[in-house]
Amino acid sequence: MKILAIETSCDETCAAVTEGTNILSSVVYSQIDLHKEFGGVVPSIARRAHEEKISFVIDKAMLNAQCSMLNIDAVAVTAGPGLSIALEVGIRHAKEWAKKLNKSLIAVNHIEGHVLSGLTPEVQFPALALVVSGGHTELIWVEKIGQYRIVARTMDDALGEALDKAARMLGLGYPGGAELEKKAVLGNSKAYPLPLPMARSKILAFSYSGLKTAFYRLVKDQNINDLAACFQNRAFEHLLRVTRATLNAQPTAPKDLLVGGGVVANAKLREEIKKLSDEVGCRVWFPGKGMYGDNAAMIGIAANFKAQRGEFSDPEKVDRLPRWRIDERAF
Amino acid sequence: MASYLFTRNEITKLAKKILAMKPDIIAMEGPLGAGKTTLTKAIAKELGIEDVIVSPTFILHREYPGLDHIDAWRVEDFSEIERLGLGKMLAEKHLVIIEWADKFRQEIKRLRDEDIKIIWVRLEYAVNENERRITYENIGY
Repeated sequence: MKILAIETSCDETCAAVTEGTNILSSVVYSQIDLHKEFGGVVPSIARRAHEEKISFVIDKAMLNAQCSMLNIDAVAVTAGPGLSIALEVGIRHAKEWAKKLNKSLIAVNHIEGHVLSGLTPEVQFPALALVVSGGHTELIWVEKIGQYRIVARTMDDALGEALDKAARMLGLGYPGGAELEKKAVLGNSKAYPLPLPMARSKILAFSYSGLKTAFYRLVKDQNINDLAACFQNRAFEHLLRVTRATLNAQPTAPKDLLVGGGVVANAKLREEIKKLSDEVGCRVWFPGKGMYGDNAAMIGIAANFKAQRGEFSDPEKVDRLPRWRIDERAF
Repeated sequence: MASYLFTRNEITKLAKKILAMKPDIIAMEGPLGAGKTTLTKAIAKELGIEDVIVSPTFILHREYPGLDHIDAWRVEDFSEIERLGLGKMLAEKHLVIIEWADKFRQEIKRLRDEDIKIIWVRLEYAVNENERRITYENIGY
């Protein structure tokens, strides 16, 4: 089944053509340069840029897939979670394409896309999924594809958001997380004391607000590389501690850990997650290059499984769901 | 105007004091990590809201029963906040909390003309690590 997938939940305008779990084309137009001077995604600018680029991005995805309109079997789109006014652009275009092609529409949860972005035929279910991005930090129990339960999520900031904010305190550029990583590589992560969030807590949840506050107090005339290394180190340590506790808390330990989201682009984080998986004896699956951050290929892949389950959406009903949880059914 | 030093444990007390002033809008300003979202959590708890209040930075606006939580940090123009449905939120008597309100000080203050009661809260780091200097002011109708 060939699917045209569209994704505009935040600051990348994306389209892809997929067939099953194969990616025939994937086009991502990043708006980073437009948001740089503001130090973060500005929703109104994101929407304008989506409006300007989306037709071009869709056409390019169709062209790269060497796919004619006649070969498309369904149109998929991210309906949430994300920025409301950004989601709206993708949804409107997806509806138009579905109508034009007279094909079914499939509304996809963005987080489900990230969960499945590292999927291979070898993955066995139930599995645990870790999604870490600018907007989300969640551990999700995947009973099987399409059946999810959120096990742990953030009580305040997402990991990517915390990294961005720490970078901002250091006066680094945008996107903050990537800039922080460059400095952290050069620094000593033991140079300054920072608290490990919720270190004595038994609750399975993430929290970055305390770490952020402690960091604010450290940032003075100190070594930027060391500061970056210390913050990143503690932020990851917390993520790994909760992930480890979650893996250990399951009555039957999952054999596979699926990891997705923009923060996976951080090499140090991938290394630490790999170490953790070796330690607890499970396999870990990362997305392929270009699939860490937002993309429409993962939306197409998720849509393929939804189609197999007969979960098509009524175009009349599909609307933006800025807070759509992966464990909630919609449309 | 009242200005106090608060410790983390006293945040409930502060939330109660602010709510006792019956605000329609609580406008918050203060640097990263000063506790804007933490104070919002305490206020939500006082309102009996059971949801976990998380940072609204990413999606700009989060809605809870009787409470709307808005982050103005990356908003370009106040009309974007109006387009989120600010008028409707206020008409439905939801409490509206706006973080980074200092970005739109004039626009928010202008809402007083529409009989909207605004409490302005400023959070600052204090010398002691566990303390914040918090100034709140009923800027009236």
